[in-house]
Parts: sequence; structure tokens; C-alpha cells
Amino acid sequence: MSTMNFRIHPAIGFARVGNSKDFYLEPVTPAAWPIANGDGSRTGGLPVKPGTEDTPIDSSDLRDSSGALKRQAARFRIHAYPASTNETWPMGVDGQEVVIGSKVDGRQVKDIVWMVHLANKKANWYIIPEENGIGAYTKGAVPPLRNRQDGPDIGAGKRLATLVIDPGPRTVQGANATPVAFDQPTTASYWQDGKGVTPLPSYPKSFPGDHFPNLDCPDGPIDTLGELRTDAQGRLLVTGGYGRACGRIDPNTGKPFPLNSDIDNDGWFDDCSDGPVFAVLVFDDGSTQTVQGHAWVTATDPAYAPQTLNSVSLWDDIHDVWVRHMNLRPELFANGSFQTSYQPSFDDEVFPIFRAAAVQQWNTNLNVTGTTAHGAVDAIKAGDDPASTILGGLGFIRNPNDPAQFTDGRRMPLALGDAGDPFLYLRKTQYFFLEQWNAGKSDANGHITLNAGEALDRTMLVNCLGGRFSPGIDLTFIVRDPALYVQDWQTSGIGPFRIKPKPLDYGKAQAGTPFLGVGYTPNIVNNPLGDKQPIDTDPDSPGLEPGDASKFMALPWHTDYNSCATHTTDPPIPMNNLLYWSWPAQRPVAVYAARDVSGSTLPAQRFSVRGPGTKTEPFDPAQVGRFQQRIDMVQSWHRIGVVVQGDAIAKADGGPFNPAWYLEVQSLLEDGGDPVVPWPNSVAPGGS
Amino acid sequence: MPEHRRAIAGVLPVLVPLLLLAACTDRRKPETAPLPRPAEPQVEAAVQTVPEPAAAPVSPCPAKPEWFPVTPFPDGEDFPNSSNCDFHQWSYQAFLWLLQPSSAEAGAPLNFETFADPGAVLKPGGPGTVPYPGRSPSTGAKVLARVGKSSNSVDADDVFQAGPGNRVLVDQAGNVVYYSGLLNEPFWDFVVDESLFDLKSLLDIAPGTDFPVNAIELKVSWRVAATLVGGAPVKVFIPDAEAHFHTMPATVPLVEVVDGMVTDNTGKTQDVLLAMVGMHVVGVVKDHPEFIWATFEHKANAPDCDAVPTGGSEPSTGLPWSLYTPNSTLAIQNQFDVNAPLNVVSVCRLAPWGGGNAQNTANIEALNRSVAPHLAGSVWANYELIGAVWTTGDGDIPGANGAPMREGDQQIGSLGLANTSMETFTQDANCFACHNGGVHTVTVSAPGRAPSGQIVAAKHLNLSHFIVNYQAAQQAAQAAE
Repeated sequence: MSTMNFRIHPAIGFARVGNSKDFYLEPVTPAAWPIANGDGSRTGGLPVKPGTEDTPIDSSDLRDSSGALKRQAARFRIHAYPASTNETWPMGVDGQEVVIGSKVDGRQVKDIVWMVHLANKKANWYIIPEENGIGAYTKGAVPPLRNRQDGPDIGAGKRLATLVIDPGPRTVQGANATPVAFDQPTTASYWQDGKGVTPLPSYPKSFPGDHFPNLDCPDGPIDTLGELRTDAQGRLLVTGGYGRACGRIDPNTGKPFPLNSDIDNDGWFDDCSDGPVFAVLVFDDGSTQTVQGHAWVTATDPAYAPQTLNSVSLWDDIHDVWVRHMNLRPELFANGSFQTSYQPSFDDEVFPIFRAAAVQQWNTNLNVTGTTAHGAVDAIKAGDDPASTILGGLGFIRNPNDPAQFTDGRRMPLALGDAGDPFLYLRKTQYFFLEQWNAGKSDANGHITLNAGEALDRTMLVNCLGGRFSPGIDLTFIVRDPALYVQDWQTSGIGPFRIKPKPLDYGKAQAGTPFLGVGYTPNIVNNPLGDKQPIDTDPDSPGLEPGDASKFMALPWHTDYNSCATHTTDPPIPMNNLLYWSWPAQRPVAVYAARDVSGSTLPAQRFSVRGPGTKTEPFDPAQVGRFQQRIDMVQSWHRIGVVVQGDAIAKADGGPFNPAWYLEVQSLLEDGGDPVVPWPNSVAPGGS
Repeated sequence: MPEHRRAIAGVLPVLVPLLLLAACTDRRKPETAPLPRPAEPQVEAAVQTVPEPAAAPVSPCPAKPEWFPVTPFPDGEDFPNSSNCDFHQWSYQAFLWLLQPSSAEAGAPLNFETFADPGAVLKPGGPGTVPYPGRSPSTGAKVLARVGKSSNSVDADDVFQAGPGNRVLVDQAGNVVYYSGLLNEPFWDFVVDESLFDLKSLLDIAPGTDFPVNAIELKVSWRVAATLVGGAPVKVFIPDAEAHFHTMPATVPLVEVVDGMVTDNTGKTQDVLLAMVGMHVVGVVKDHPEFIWATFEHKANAPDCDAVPTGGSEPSTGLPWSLYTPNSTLAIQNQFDVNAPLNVVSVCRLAPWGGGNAQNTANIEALNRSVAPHLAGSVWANYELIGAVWTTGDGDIPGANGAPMREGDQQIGSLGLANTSMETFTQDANCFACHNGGVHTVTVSAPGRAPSGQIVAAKHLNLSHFIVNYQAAQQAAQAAE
């Protein structure tokens, strides 16, 4: 028995679809944060060049030689820590990365065997409950079912067999391993304790084409969910699908299913996926060690603005849940209350909120007043007297503890909310950080000192969308369910932020019988902290199967991405006909195209989604900057440009530019469509 | 083309309700009733000659007997500062004083009409040897209605509606509502004494510096009653306006839509008769450097939102609503249409009497009842106090968005106060949301330059947007040099 504890990092990794076989690696720096040890101008969030530790890509790396958009691979690595049964976060120890050839406890690591199981269960799931989010899963209640034409029982064998995309598990090992595909031809395999890698030739794989003839797949068939491979050190790289979507023939009408919803389209599949990541260390003495801290990977939308930080990131949502419900940081929150003795780190816990505000301008049509004010927010220094700053008194910030402010359209963030809240608000932990800062109680010099593994855990989540889970882009409201995670994180050696996997007995897999079941269903049983989004641990949660995280997302993702530019609030606010942004940091609405820049002033903005098929006639501000027919997004999503920092723009794209600018490059969309009008934009009074 | 690609067209967004737009367009047709000679009636005399009622109702907050027949200036040094009523009484006394003639001379301008245009003192170099109010009294009540805000202009008024963007208000006759800003002699003297016309002085002044007691600034809103040519009415929009409104002839800039944005920088003007529909009365009293923020409205401006749709009922004045589209529902109230910025806007009042507590409301209503008999027979009987808001005082200046700048800070009075003719689109916030001592952000537009965002550092003087806008314009001008 090792005295060491092993853990995969990041705890949750994000692969992103692309229509190229090529890929770059998930960023290892947080979006928009100043990069430590840099010259002060470069900010984080840029993906990483394959084969390097952390060398950021530039604009010439976004597409392959054919112009196809590269995928993003999630990279996983293993760290070793002294075993502990009373863990804290941060742990306060550095740990050590374990690669092939590493020595651990006197033994040399001869090999690392990785096992991943990806699946897509979107078509056999419930519709997205936009009005109440996770609250729709209270005390056994569930939303209406998707694909009702395939039967009313979500657990029926036929539905499970035909609507779930399940290639089965795959293993990969060694250094520089060739890709192992999650496709039909590749044999499934899994790690079996005592027996090693075990093939599963009769695993009941399932792809849409196996069950439905005459699928309409504008970008090609869904015949794979991606691949596993390893790098020179034996780290795992997971690439996801190719961003494809396929529509069926409606058995009731004999006609193709229409794309008539932004988020729930019966008869459609996409090739996003998710699943657990496990690893086993094989030592030179023949012994093996299962890595206790497993991880999770999800393959989702491309990152069209990887360096734009969300005002509420996925980290902010997950950290908030862990702080208030999982006893993550008792010095910050204990016995149901934030601790006013806690001094948040200005750099790590306060300033990112300010930074996020400042970078929204690169993806939105904010007016001059807005961008100027945000610039003043970004200029706030740790030593400034809060009262003398533009945020003094926090009067501009929507207080998540005061429902009276939830409909206040003057407070920030000026973006849309979810689950019955018209506007986005900071998570309670974020707001507490601001309150402490405003009261002069932030730590101007301190930092949250994370070890390398913990930093990866956080960074991956910082770079994803939080706050507005309707449903979101990377993960959704299930992250607010404490039952999603491994509960005994302090004593089990598994650590925090780990999605709880349902134990699966692959030995029982047999051809013709669907292996995966209905899977994780949130079940909110009470609301101990009185949150607007009620959350509580369901101790009976069995954990997640592959596909149980991404199934809550839009089907297909393309239609959701298309629509989530700007909207009026939902629910509507009386006498407010203004349009607000949905996911401004991750779904760019209006951008500055690098090719439009000449000289030292910014050019006029263009819509990120533009060109033929996007123009509204007559002009309709509520529908600008998106395709007017959803199918066009299914066909053109990979042509959208990417917003990156000026000094990451290659010569071929006209760069480099001012590093303070974040400009769109590599758009393959034609020009045309509606003009960008600075906010505020509104619909006709009484309209929608 | 697969079927679903066609089917999607069936779920395209619902188009703009054309009927509604058509209705708005109709409303812009001018009414054609004859207009009497646009001369200022001697309503002030009425104010002075109305005898005190024999049996005034008992009121928790009455008009004071000494306000009639001639209202003395409400000296802020004598402010009692003991009750909610004191603040509303100051507001009403100030209003009554403002609308009195400035002298016994026939045709003398009203007190408020003798106030200075802020651009006469807040201009590079200051007023020099030109004394308050910066113009000859013989030119009479020459109020500049609606002037452009730009960095190279001497004018510092914020000519647009409160709130973000150029959201203009268009009245029921289809005309833009105009605004004028005014300040009194103590305000003027303070600007001169502190050289606030000089950018360096503004940047250097101690953030805790307060306006002096009795400094007053006004914002007045006006509807177009008629267009004039050679002083004679050509198109009449408010029949018999002089009988119902305080009116004033003026030359105003034409407001047009250029490149999708509303602008009054058109270089075109027109002569009009203006009818006053609202007035902000904002003044400093002892221990209240945050100003008392009071507002008055013409009774025919707009109904309370709770009463909408009104079922066709008209305001108590017997006039049609100035700003509310008859029978229109709540769904279309108080909304600006960016795509049709010069369309009629229908307005209702979100917070009756400014939405304060019951005592606050009772005091406002009692004052209105108590003053009314004294104004009977004059156009001023058609105006009323909507409310007033202030703070706990003692240097208690609200910060950003009205948030308390220190523990214990509190706003008092009509906490949801808004004037339907001035804060039409931002009625869910009171004055302190925008008028506060926090950092301000101003977009300065100037001909030939891209709009420039200016940060005006936190200071108590930021309470006045005369100061904030002027400073922002000067900062922009300096940056452009």
C-alpha cells in the first residue's frame, strides 16, 4: 500500500469540438488574468500548442491547413501527494507530477493506463427547464421528456438502445500512444483489477446510424465521439467529436424533424459527450496502483473567445457550492455563514471580478459609457480606498442576497440570468469577496496558493461559463447539486470538485442489451441555505454514468449557441424592453475584426455571426447577430471567427496588434447582415 | 432542401406589431384648434391675490401662512431639519418662490426665469467680468431649451433624458420634450469663487467640498405647444396652452435621427411656444449638502401605472394626458424604441408620490391640498409636488448608484422619486442613483471626434451634473488637444 495519494488533474477537463482532425490543448491559464511572470501585457486563456507544456497558440493555430477549425483536447495528468485523511483546500503541499519514468515510493512508473468512457445521452433525457433550472428536479419531479415519439418511459430498453450514443469504454497506455477512437470499429476495453486491460468485443455500442436510416447530417455522420491518445510523458489527451448534428425522419409524419427549438429538438443528435477518466499506475515491479482521484471530461462547444473571462465562471458557481455546502474553506464559510474575519485576496478573489467586467467589451456592443466605466473598474488597485473608486459602496453591483435587486436593470452584471431570474448576479461567495473589499478587508498582497494540480482544477473551470445555466455552454445547473460530487473528499483521498462516478461492472456488458441506464437524476430534497436555486445533498445519489453531465445541455448545441446572443429578460420586467446579453464572454455577439483595424483606433464592430442568412427583414434588434434559420448554424458554426489578444495575432492575420485589444481573427463567414448598434438596444414597446 | 430547413421558417420571430406603430404615427398629427396670442398671462397676480381659505383642513403638513400672498425665499440657513414635513415644506416654498415675479414691474420674469444658464458660468475662463446671471435682465426670461453637450461647447447641460443613451421622450402630439437647466446666484458665486470653470480646479478640489447652503439648481421640462413664425402660431399642438400651462416662447434645436442615433446637433432650429410640464427643484439647506431633491409635475402628464389602462379617464385638469396614450396597456408604458426613437412614448408613473412611506405620502398630499386654494385660478393650480428625497444629512453623500458611502447612511423621503417627463425610462431609481458623490462616467460627443468616455473622479460636487458634465467635456477637450 502506497503512502502516497494519486490524483488526476484537472478534476474536470474540457474538450471542445472542431471540424478538423487536428487539435490544440486546453488552456492552462485563466482567461483574462494577468499571466504570472509575464511582462504584464499578456493575459491567460489561450489554448496550448500540442507537444508543449504551456506555450500558447497564436491565431495561425486555430485552423488546420484546410481551414477547418481545430478541436481542443483536454489534457490530464497525475499528481502524487502525501496521503491524508483530513484534507484541506488548498492542501498546502506541492505534490509531484507522475509521468512514465517517475519514481514514486521507491518504485518506477513503467506505464500509465488510462480508461475513459464517453457517451451522449441528450436524446434520452428531459427538456431543459429554463424557468426553474435545477429546481425542476425537486423531490422526484422531472421535466417533460425529449423525443416523446420514441415512448414515454425514459428507462425503456428501446429508448436506451437507440437514443443513447455509447461507444463504450476505451483504454490507452504508454507514451505517444496512437489514437484510440470512440467509434464503431474500435474495440471497447476497460481496466480490470487483477487482469489488466480487458477487451470488450461484445460491448453494445450504439450510434444513431445503427438505428435510424436516412439521417440528415449536414456536416457528416456521427460515427465517433472522439479519441484518446497520450503525449510523450504518458499524459492523457482526450479529443471530442467533430461538431456534427444529425436529424431523423419523424416516424409520425414521414418527414425530417424540424429544428424548431433553440434548446430541445426532438429527432436530433449531436456528438458532444462526457464521461469519467480513470488511471492506473503500472510500476516496474509489476505492481499497480489505481489513481484514487479520478477526473471527468466533457466535450462541448468550441471556445470562440477563450481569453474573455465570464463575470460568473463555472469556477465561481462550483466554488460557491463547495464553500457553502461542502465545507471547502471553513475559514471563509462555516456554520451557515460567511466569516467576516476572512480577508479575500485582492488579486485572486476580488480583481478577477473587475477584470471580467473590463473584457466584456470585446464580445459585446457595449457603448462608450459602459466600456469607459468598465475601464475604471479594471483600473482599481489593491491599495485604492474602495469608497473613492467607481464601485464604492457596491451600488452598481446586484446583491445576490437581495431579491429586490434581481429585476434592477441598472446593476451589474448587465447580463441575463437563469431559472426565473431576469438578470445575472454574482455568486454569493463572489459578492462576499466584494463586500469585504468594500469594507477595506481585502488582502492587498495575499494570494490563494494552489499547487500545480489544484491550479489546473481551478483554471479549467475559470475558463468556462457559469451563472446563466439555460442551459449554458460547458456544464449546466447540475454543478449546483452537491450530490454531483464525491462527498467524502477530505478523507477518501479523492479530493474536492470530483464528479461522483457510478460504479459500472463492464463484465456484464453484452451485445444487444444497452449497457448504460437512465443515470444521474438530480433530486433536490430541501434547501438548507435558502438559495434561490435550492440545493442540497441527496445522499442516495448513485453517481454519474458516462453521458450524465452533457445530457442536460442543448440538443443540438448549435441552435442554442445561435440564439444566445441577446434577449429581453425572462421573465419579462414590466416596462423594460431592453435587450441584454446571454453569454457575452463565451458567445461573442459583436466583435472587432482584426482585418478591419487600421491605425490606433478600434474599427466599427461586426457581429460575430454574420453574413448571408443573418440579416433581419425588417430590421429586428431582437434577432440580429444570428442565423435566422437554425440549420444554418449547424452548417456554419465552424466558420465563426475567434477572439484573441492582439499580440497573439499572427502576421498572416495582420498582427501583432496592441495587447490590450482582443480582436476577431480567422472568421470564414462572409460579410453582410445587420449593422451593430451600440447598446442600449430595445424591442418595440410591448414586443418580445 | 430537406423539409426541416423549410419548416424552420415557420418559427421565425414575430414581427414588430405594425398596428401599434401606425397608431403612434397617427398621434403625431398636430391638433388644429386655434391658439390665443402667445403672451404670458399674469398668473403670478393670481398667486398673490387668492385669499386664504377660511377653514383650512387640519393637515399633518400644511402650507405655511407666511407663504401667502408673497412667498419669501426659503433660506436654507433657517431650515428646521426636524421632520419629514420640513423637507417637503422647503420644497414647496422654494417652488412657490420660484414662480413668483422677480419684481413689481409689469411683465417681469419669474424668479426662476432670472436664474442663470449653467453655460454662462461653466465655460473655459469663467464669466469674467460678466455678472450673474450672465445676460441682460432686459432680455427677459430667455431660457435656453435644450442645448448640445459637447466638449467644445460652453454649455454643460445634459439635454437628454436621464439614463443611458440618447433616449428622448416624445409627447402625445409627437413632439420631443425639451429641457432646460438653471442655477441661482449662490451656485454661480460658488463656481466663481472656487474657479470651478477651470478644469484644474475641478480636478484639485477636495473631494469633501460641499455646495453652499442656498445653492439651487433646476431642471425644467417643456412640451412644444405650438410652432411659431414671427411670434405667431403656425402649428398648434396644445390648444389654449396658456390657459393651462406656464408657457414661454423659445428657439429650440430640431431633433432628428442621424445614422440611427437621436441627435439635436442638427444645426436646425425652430421657434416654438413651450409649455412647462415638470420642474426639479434641487437645493442645499443647512446640514444637508446632499441637496433636497424635489420634483413638481403638471397634473396632465401621466397617470399612475396602477391605474393603467385608465379606461379613457382624463386627468383632473380636464386636459388630455400629455404623455400617456389613452387606453394603452401597461405592456407598452415607459419604453423607448431604439428603432423608432421619435415615436410617441406612452408614460405612466411607477411610484405615486415617489413611493416613500405612508407618512411621507401623507405629507406630500396634505401640502398639495393645502397649497391648492392659493393657486386656484392660475395655471399653477395645474402643477403639484410629486415628492422629495434627501439623506440623513451631516455630510451624508450617497456614492455610486446611490449606495451608502459609509455605514449608517440612509436615504429618506420619496425613495422611488422620478418625474415622468424627465426620468421617464429610469423611474425605478431615485435621483441619487445618478446624482451622487461617486465616480461618474460620461460620454462626451463632439463634432468631428469619436465619442469619448470620461471618468469624473468621486467628489461631493458630482451631485450636480452641471459640474460632472462640464468637467467631462473639459477632460475630453484636453485629451483631444
